[in-house]
Amino acid sequence: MDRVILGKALVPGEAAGPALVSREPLSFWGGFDHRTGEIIDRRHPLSGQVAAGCVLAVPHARGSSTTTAVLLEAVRSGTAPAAILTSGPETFFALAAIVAEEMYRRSFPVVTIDSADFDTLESGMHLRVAPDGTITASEGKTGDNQP
Amino acid sequence: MDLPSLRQARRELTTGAGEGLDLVVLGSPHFSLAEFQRLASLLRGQRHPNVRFLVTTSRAVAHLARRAGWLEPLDAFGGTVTVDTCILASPMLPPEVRRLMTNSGKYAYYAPGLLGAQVVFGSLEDCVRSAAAGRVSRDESLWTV
Repeated sequence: MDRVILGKALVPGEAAGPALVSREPLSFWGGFDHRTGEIIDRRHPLSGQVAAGCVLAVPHARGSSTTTAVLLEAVRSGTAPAAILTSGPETFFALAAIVAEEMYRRSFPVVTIDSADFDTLESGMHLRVAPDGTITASEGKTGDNQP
Repeated sequence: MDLPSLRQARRELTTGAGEGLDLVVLGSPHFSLAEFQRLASLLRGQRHPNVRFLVTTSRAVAHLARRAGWLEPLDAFGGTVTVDTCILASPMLPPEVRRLMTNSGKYAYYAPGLLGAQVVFGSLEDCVRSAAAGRVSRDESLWTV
């Protein structure tokens, strides 16, 4: 059964992938390996998970503004998340998405959703992000199983 | 914020166990002039030959610390200063360093992920004492009251 969440597209775009969800904010600087796409913050609940190609949902970035630079490098390396969902306006992620489009003609959408909606997200759901900020969540395995 | 949460944060900033130590590293964010003054007053004698002692800071602060005479005790101790970068931002850590000790929460937080090294979090006094002893030595008395 699909569920629709109305988000606000800070950086509009289209993407889909398995959800990788945490209630803990994440610094990409020091917390994400742009060579592999692995989350390497060893104290973060998502430590060891590979975020490349996933729809990453974290409340917001943490710490250094160099998060933007690491995420930008991840786009260049093809290890960036397919999309990032946050529970509040988040400029570090959005800036990386905007600059990546400018520099590499490649990017990822950044969508902000209500924290009540954010709380319903679970890792492993399949999420589809539309350019208007609408997110369609389907339970279970990933893959294009739309009718 | 209460004592139990501070204790827990202190515990979480240390990984691995035991007294083994290869490097004491201070200065993330960059070591300040006031910290150099305090460090100079704590340094006596020399570091243990097996424990490197590194301070990272900015060029300007290193210059001012040198002029104030606060780097002489560090030189005598066998410490080194690296300017304008840090161990997290530059590949400057010798590969044989498996366990480091610091009084920097930032170094302690990010070293396991970025460097794959074990880390011990302690006070500046703990760091100096451990470097001289050649093994981790932390004053637990503050935390056990």
